[in-house]
Amino acid sequence: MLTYVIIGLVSGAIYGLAALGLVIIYKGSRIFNFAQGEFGTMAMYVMFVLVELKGVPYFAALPAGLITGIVLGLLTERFVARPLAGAQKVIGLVGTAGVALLLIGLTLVFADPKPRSVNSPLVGVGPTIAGYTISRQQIFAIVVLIAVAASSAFFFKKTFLGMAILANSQDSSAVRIVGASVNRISAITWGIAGFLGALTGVVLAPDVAFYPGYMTTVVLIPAFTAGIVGGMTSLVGAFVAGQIIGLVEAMGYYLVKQFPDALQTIPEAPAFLVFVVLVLTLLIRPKGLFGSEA
Amino acid sequence: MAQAVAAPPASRPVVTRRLTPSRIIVLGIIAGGVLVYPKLGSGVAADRFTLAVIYAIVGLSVNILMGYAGQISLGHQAFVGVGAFSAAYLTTKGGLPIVLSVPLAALIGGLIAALLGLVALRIQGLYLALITLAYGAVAERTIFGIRELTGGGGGMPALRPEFFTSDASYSYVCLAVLALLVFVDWRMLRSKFGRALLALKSNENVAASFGMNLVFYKVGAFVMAGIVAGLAGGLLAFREQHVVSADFTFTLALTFVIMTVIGGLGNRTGVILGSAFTAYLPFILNKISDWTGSSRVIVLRIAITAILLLLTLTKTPGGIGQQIHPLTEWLSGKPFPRHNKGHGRKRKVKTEAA
Repeated sequence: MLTYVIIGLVSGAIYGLAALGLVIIYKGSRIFNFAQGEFGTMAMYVMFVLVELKGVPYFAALPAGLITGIVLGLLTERFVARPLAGAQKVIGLVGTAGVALLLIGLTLVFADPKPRSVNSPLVGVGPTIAGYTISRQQIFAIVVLIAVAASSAFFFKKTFLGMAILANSQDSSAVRIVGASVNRISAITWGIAGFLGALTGVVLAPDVAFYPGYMTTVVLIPAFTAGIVGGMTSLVGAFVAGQIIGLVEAMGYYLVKQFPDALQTIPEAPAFLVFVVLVLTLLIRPKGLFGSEA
Repeated sequence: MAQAVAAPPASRPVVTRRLTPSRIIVLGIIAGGVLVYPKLGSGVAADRFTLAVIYAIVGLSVNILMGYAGQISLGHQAFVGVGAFSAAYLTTKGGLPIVLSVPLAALIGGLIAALLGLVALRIQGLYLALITLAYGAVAERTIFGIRELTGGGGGMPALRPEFFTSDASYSYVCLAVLALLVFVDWRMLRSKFGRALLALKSNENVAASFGMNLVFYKVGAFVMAGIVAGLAGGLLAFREQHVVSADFTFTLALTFVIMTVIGGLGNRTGVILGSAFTAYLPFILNKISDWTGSSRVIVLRIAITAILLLLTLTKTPGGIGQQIHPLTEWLSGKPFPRHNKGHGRKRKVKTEAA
C-alpha cells in the first residue's frame, strides 16, 4: 500500500509541474494551453538527440532542452496566441490544440515512432522506502517541483513582472494605460510556460519510454485535472492537486491489483478514476480547492 | 452618435436572383459530378467517397455546436463511436435491419448528448471543453472496451444488408442522408430554434435577458449534434462493416474539430468541403507517395492539417466558406461579388467599368 503512495507522489510531481505551466498561461491569458504537453515532448526529443546520438552528458544537455521549450513558448505566443488574443476563448483553445498537433506532426516527420529513452546519471538505485526503491531521478523530479513551485509563488507575489502578468490577465487595457507593454508581458508568460513544459519533459525523459505526442497523451489530461482541482489560478493549488491526482491514479493501480476480477470489466481503471475526479470537481466545486473564481 | 441616429439606414440594395443558363450548367456539372463519381472506377473510389460524405455529416454535427451555438466539443469521436457501436450491436446482436438500427443509433447518440448537455449547463466556456474531452476519453478507453457491448478490442461486425453490399450503392445511401441533413440544417437555422442558437453564441446574458430559455436551447444544441453524430456513426459502422474501439481516439476528435474550423464555422458549404477534404487528405498523400516513391509523404498528414488550421484561425477565420464565398453567392443566383468583404486586403471598388 505504501509503495503505491510513493508511486503516486512521484507521478504527482510530474503532473504538478505540468499543471503549473497550464496555470501560469491561464493566469496570464485565460486560455487552456493544449500545447503545454508538447513543449515537453519536443524537449525530450532534443535531449534524445543530444544525449543518445551526440553523446552529450545529461546535465550538459539540460539547458538545450529547456531553451527548446522557451523558444516554442515564444513562437506560440507570437504566431498563435497574440493574433488570437481578441478572438473567442474557444478559438484560442483550438489554436493551442493546433500547435500541439503541429508539433506532433513535425516529430512524426523527423523522428521514428519508436519508443525512445534518455540516459541520465541519476537513473538507477536510490533509497528504499517501504520495499519500494525510488530512483534518484524521481527524487530529482520532486525536488525540481518544490523548487519551481516556491520560486513561482515568490515571482507572482513579490516581483514587479509577476504582478504585471496578473494585472494583464485582469485588465489588459489598464496595464497599457500605466505604460507596461502587453505584448512583452504575454511573451514572458508564454516563455515561462514553455520553460515549465520543457522542464517537465527533461525531468521525466530518463524514466519513461517516450514517443511522438507522449506528453499530450499521457500527462496532459492528468495535468489539466490537477489544474482544475487546484483551482486553475492557484500555483499552490496546482502543486497540491498534482500530488492528489498522482495518489488517485496510484490508488487505481492498487485497486486493480487487489480486485483483478471485479475491475477487469472496466479497462484502464486508474485513468477512469482521474476522469471521475475531474468531472466531480467541475460539477461540485468548479473553482477547485484553492481557486479564486469559477 | 446623434448623426448616426438622424441618418436613416441606407435601404438595402434589391438583389435580383436569376437562374441564368450559365448557373444552371455549373450547378448541373457539380451535381452530376457528385452523383456519377461513385459509379466511376473501382469500388475503392466509392468507398473513399462514402467516407468523405460521412465526415461531412460529422462536420455538420460539430458545426451545430461550435458554429451555431458557440459551444465546444472535444469528445465528438465518442458521439460518433456511440452511434457506430449502437448500430453494429443492434444489427449483429439484436438482428434489427439497417433501416431501424441506424435511426436508433442516432436516437441513442441524441440521448447521450442530452445527458452531456445537462452537465454542460453547470459549466461555462472553456471548462466545458474539458468535460467533453473527459467524456471522449472515458468512452474511448473504458466504455468502448467493455467486451459485452463492443466486442472488446476485437470489435463488432456490422454487415451491410443485401441491397447495399456494393460500395457504390452504399455511398448513394450516405449521400441521400447528407442531402436530407443539409436540408434540415438549412431549415433549422432559419427557424426560431436556429436564431436562438446564434443568439446564444453572440451573448448568453443578452439572450437570457430577452427571455430566452438558455437551458432548453443549450441542451437542444447538444441533442441535435448528438443525433447527427450518432447517424454518422451508424453509417460509418456499415461502411467499415467492422467497428473497432481503437478507431475512436482523441486525435479523431481533434480532426473533427479542425475540419469544421478549416471549413468555416457556421458556414454549411464550407464545413462540408472542409470535412470532405480532410477525409480525402490521407488518400491524396498516398497517391503522391506512390508517384514520388517516398513513404515519408504520408507522415505529413498531421502537420499539414495543423498548419491549415493555424493559417485559417489567424488569416481567414471564415475558412473555406469565406474563400469560396463569391462563388457560392453567384451560384445562389446573386451577382458575382466584385470585392470580398473582409477577405485579405480590401481593394478599391471600381466605379463603372470593371
